[in-house]
Amino acid sequence: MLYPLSYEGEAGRATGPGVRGANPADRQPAGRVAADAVAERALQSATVSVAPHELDPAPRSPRRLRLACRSRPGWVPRRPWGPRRPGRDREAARSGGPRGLGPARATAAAVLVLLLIFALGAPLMLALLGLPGPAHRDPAALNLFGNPTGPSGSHPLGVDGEGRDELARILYALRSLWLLSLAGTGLAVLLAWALRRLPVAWGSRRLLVGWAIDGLLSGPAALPPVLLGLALATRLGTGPLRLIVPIALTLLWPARRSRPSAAGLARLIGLAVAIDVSLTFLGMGPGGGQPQLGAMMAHAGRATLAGIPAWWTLVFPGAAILVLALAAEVLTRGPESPAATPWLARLPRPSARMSVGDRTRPWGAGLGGPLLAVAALALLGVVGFGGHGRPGLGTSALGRLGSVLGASGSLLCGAGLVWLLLGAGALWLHSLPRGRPSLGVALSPLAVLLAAAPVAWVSLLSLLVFSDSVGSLPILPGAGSYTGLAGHPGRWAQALILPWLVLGVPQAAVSLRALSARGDAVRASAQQRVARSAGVPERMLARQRRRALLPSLLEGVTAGLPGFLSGAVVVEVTFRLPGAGALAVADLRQGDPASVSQLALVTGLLVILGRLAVDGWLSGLAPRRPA
Amino acid sequence: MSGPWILPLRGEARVEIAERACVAVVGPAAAAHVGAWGDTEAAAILVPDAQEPLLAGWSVADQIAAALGGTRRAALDRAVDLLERADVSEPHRRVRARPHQLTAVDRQRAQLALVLARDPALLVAEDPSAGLVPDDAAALLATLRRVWVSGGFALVVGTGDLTDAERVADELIILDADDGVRERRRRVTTAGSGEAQASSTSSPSSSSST
Repeated sequence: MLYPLSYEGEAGRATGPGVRGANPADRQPAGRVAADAVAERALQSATVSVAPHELDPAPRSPRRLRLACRSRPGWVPRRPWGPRRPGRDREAARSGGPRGLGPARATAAAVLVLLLIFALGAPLMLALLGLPGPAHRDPAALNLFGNPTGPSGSHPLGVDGEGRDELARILYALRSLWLLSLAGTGLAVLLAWALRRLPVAWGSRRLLVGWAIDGLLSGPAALPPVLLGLALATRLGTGPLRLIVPIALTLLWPARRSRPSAAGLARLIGLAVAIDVSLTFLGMGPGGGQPQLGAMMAHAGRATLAGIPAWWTLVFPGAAILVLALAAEVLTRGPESPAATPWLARLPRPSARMSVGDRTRPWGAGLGGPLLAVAALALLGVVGFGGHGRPGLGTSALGRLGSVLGASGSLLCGAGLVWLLLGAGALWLHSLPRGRPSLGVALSPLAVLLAAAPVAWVSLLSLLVFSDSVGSLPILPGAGSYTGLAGHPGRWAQALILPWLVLGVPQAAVSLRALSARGDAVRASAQQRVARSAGVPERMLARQRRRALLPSLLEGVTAGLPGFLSGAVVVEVTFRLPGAGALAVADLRQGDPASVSQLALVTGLLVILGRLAVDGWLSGLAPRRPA
Repeated sequence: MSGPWILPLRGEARVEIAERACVAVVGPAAAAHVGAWGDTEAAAILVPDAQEPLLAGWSVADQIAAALGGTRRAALDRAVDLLERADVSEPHRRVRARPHQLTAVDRQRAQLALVLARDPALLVAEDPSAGLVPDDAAALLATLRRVWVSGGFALVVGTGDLTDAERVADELIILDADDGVRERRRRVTTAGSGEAQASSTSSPSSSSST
């Protein structure tokens, strides 16, 4: 009698849900039908008198073998526009933590919505509170010396140097911030969605088309957003477009990568707010006479550092940004699962059908887009194509190349060192076993706070506290005290301590985000289970966890590189370091955009080189298995 | 720790595994249950290749040496022995390979060598042949059986496939849709070998289904 060894068995294996799923989410007991089918086969085979493993396998034609392979769940279809690997979405959702909004994230969402309502209803709020409009100057609110006065009954948050009510200005500035950020985010999402969707709609299923579109989308994200915004600023006029366009360009790639969930949306809005604040801080406002939070901070910072004591003009605008960014950051650190927010899950998902060839993409293909963006910028900057500025090199950036590079290099190297050291510490913390009360858990609220705080505000506050000119705790030299390393090494280091910390620590906090999401997944990974059961001692297990986490840290570092370089420009301006960023901004204010374009070009190339190096390292560290 | 081991199914149901037994648990959710047993102290586990049980970027030798301890030279020799025991061809070459350089079936064999390093009393295999092409799956299961015959441990294989189960195990535990034990029986053997035929179709006393 023949044993029923046949390929129907293979097919049945694939249709029995969850039988061989690698994934606990699959491990729901299947229906009674499947179980009964197994039992039926068991009864059938009980009457067989020949053991299957002693039989010669039935002759197998290659075609049937292929069919059998295809019915195996491990098999990945190689269609270029094919669906995602079945397990990956669920895996991502699982490693991100519990589904649904936790209490912290629900609070954050509520804060965001409240801020949106307050900001959009700013005129109504002012009428309710009985405050004057944001442009109304009240000379009576200034004191005898013409200096602003602090919080009082008639002006809850005080007035600024011209006697304008601070609360009214913050509300109007928040409104403008929201509108610009939402416009930029919406434009980016729409563009990313359309560019990914249209080729599918037109019936193009070529892998190459997908890669080309991904290259287009990912290109601008490689440039530091602040420098991109500055380089485009003069070419976009003085309207709101000079903020919306850089935001939209920078967000194209994040919009393509993130899911339409609360976390994805919050990440986009957080990025948009950071870019908006940095650009308005550097003086690239949208015009129209509306107050801008960044510009308010810059103005207040200049006045405060000049010795006019008005802390409220600096603290409150920054605090408003901090609350907004903090809510977005808390919301970001959640599962990026499409199921987390059903109301958004109903939107068409840009990433479901359109993850074109992610696994089959050749090594280094991701660098084409950034190179393209840099080339476009070169066209704008060096050739002067389409700009108002004269073509050629900037007036001052190349004139004093040595000292400029010295100052910028000192800042970047020191802050990068702080970043990497803190990152290594975080890596070590996250490799600790779960049972121990973890320092990483205790530090995570601090990391969220640091990642959310706007760099410009933190720089100014740190100067306000620690600088020896205006500080309340005068232990470090103030802004503009930079001297070269060759002249006086001690004074050089003293002047750079604050910039290093202000730039490096938030970057470390940002790259911690990727690490903390991955730490638990690594602890619970199959690799750790198998190694533990094989008797690997705990010390070696921790080493293996560190090794498994290292790629995440490196990816965080590469992803944070453009933001790091943007922050460096802001820090150079606030601390008056004579570096490339500060000089380029000064040139731009005098109507010469060439040096900003060149700087953006150079930093873009730096980012590409850094990415190339890390990609090469990663391909050795965590080699991908053939799909 | 030595057997017998009483291992839980859903609810109150338990399964008893004798020392040095070779048992397959068959059912839609059998692999999940068996995988959960793997987290007990006594057991060594095998998981499907899709879960990436080996550390990407470390060579097989390093990973086995981490389990063995001792000097590097001794660990390397022992790793080669273990790979040979797990039927890896050319173990001297493969021991230096990193997981992505091996085929799926060799990765599973390397995983088997890794867990054998501890000399376990109970080896729990959660669908070890998942995702392999049929020939490789059959070869891996034959290896598993051979290693069990030569080693002194109890082997439990959880799978959804009766064919796989019968390739490996002497004793089959067939689960029903509620993950209770529907049936526990000896493997059907060759007519000429004179061994015991299918012994019973009722649940034995050691296991109760709810």
